Amino acid sequence: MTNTAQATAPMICEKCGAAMNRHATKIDYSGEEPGEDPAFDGPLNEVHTCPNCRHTQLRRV
Amino acid sequence: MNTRPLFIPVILGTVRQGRASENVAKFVFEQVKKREGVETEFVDIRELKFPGHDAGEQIKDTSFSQLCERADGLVLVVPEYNHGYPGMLKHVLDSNLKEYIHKAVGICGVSAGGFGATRMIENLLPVMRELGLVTIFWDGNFSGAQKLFDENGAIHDEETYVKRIDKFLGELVWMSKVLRYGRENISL
Repeated sequence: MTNTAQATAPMICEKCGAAMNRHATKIDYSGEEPGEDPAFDGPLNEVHTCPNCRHTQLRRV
Repeated sequence: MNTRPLFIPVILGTVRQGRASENVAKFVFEQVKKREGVETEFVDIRELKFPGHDAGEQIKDTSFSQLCERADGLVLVVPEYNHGYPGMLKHVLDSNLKEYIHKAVGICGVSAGGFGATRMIENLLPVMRELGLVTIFWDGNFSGAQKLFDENGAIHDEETYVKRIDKFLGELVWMSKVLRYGRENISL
């Protein structure tokens, strides 16, 4: 997980353009898409927060 | 270190007519307002008008979602109904998810009986966890709620409850600061 995080470019805030900080990963239980890894019950979303404007965005792992 | 004020809204978590929790929520709101470095807002879920024909993020209310996104922490003032929390509160809370993740929450329980809604609080904790909220270990417990306030909504034993809520808010502010720092600076 750490290697993946380091290899991925920071997410850019869609509201203010600042680099966001990834601080969580959450399973998407909506059932709209299957997860790639059967260890989880759905796909994973990264959670990113903007240190500048507080906006939160999700990105599929 | 971010120096902007923390934003910690107070959410009144019941729509029931004659709710004793309204006095409690207003009392807690006044205590939050007195905190230096904290901004707050009073949210009455009765005013949010969420529809009942669907649930979850499909019924997002833009203003409520924006408020939760802006928040660094939440205070929930919640009555105990049949040992549980109000279904309408769950309906409202379920309309967001990413807006809550790694934010602090403190719960003030309100009960007609003598246990300060502790059973409701214990039931609500796993919901908080799944929403991504981080609970503090201080609660607000308001027992005998119908008799706690006078006819003008003033709490009878103010000194006692101010002291209790001061401890509760101290922990909530600390957790809100720590989590804000983490959300903005510490990468997974």
